[in-house]
Amino acid sequence: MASVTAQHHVVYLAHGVGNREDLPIPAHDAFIGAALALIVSFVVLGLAWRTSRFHGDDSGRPLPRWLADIIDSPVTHAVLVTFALLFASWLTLAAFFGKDTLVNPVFGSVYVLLWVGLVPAALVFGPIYRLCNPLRWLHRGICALARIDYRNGLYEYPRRVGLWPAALTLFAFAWLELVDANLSTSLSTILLWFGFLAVFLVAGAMVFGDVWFARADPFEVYSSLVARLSPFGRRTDGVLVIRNPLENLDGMSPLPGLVGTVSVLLGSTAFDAFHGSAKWLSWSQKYTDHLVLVNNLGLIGFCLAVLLSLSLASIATAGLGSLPRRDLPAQFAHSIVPIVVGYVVAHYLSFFVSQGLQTLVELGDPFTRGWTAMTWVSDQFNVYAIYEHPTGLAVTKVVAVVIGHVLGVISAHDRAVRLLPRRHAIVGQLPMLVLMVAYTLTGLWLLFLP
Amino acid sequence: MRARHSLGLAAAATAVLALTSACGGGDGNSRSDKPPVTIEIVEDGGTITPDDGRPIAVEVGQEVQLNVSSDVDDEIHVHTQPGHEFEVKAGVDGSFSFTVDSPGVYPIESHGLEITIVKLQVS
Repeated sequence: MASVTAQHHVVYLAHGVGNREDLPIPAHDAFIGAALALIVSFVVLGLAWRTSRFHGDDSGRPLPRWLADIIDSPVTHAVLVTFALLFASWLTLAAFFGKDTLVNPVFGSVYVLLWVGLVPAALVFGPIYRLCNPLRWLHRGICALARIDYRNGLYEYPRRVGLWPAALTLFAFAWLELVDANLSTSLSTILLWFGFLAVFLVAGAMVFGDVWFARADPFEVYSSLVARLSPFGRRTDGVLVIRNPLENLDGMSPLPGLVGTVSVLLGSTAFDAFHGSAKWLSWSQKYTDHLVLVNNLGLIGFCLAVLLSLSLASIATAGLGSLPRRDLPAQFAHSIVPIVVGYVVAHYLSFFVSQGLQTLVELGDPFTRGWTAMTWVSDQFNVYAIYEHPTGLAVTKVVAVVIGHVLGVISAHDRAVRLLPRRHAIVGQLPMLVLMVAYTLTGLWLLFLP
Repeated sequence: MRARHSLGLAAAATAVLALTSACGGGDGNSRSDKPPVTIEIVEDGGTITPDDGRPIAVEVGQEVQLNVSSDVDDEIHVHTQPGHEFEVKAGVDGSFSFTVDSPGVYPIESHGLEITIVKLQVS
């Protein structure tokens, strides 16, 4: 048979947003990370304080008066909200009137700028999404037109439901992104998904008042959780303060459903890392006809595995005082948030930088007409430059996972010595510690997996 | 409609070219001394070998050669940046070469079967 060099096109392949992945981290990086995580865990357990030091929302030094005034001023709020609403409108236009190609900025804006970008935004600025949340403002607008109070709905929000609606909507987003590449990269699917979300949130807020957004909006809830790791917050007396992020984290209310929410965040990120690996591909591609089903089961399995292990480890906390065991998972769930953030940094850093810059270029041309308003970004920066430093990238990822682990272990330790009688404080927290080590080693293993 | 679509693609291609030329400026296109890596790909009766997304280690600048035989028309997509699309004709053995000049992991996929054939692990 004749061998020919046939048709060949050099193209911009737009299959999924960012098909390129980082190189696996070198084995010695993974081992050093694992060893550090183990050592720090037992050092914290053995040497750290024996009476709780954190004071949650009672803690913090007031910000300088002038800074607090700027942050709280109606002008600042108006500027931020206007920007957020313009941005949301721009994307809505691109979604309705743009073309269904992957250079449509909707894809990058949803999967990169919003979903990944809300993490660094919350780490630096605190719960900024809550202020800018376009659906909150849509709801407020509707309430203003109908001359009803946006804060109160028809019914009081049932406390027992807590954050479960957010666990559900966060899962729905992970499902949209990870289960079927043909779905996640279809403009009409994204429109439909956000259409449903808007109806679900605005209608819910009509029924329960605007607290609904803080309980059911996936992006706001995610942002508010991560904002607990920022150095900024509001004290119990309402004063804007700067505080130790660990104190900030300690102030998170142990709402029902918090466990489900962090489980979905950690489980879906882990599944995202795993389902690109050769291990998963070699297995799942035997079932190509049922790939969507297999992915569904994988995603649900990962989230459930976190939910079960986290609930069991918290409940297994030994030597309790007066607290009922079923309240324990929510008492410890906050300590998983740093581990989630560590995973997210490790998994999405290069993706966020490269695809984020790429999305900025696309935002200048929402209808793919060749508008060049934003091409200066790609002219000024090589958007893929971050990939040219695989060693730096690998070290950063391991460091992020280990820092997340250390912060998680310290948070859980402080909570344990607060909840447990003194003589049980060390042994009692072993199950949680072992679980965190397991999460961190899994995270490093996922980074190491080809 | 069609024309506008191509215009969009052209814009995208231009953007990517701009990106990659900015990229090439860095370390002066280092070429690897190693012989080419050859990957044999066989598509037959709706299955493809390999189909396990196995990692194939390649050096930056080392030539990669895909030898493809297939009983149906297909496209092989190499998800580098910029990417490559190779058209495969039923019954005609194709041989395609390219190099990758930036480290990372890039899937090579059968477009028809929507399967990740291998992953190039470029370092």
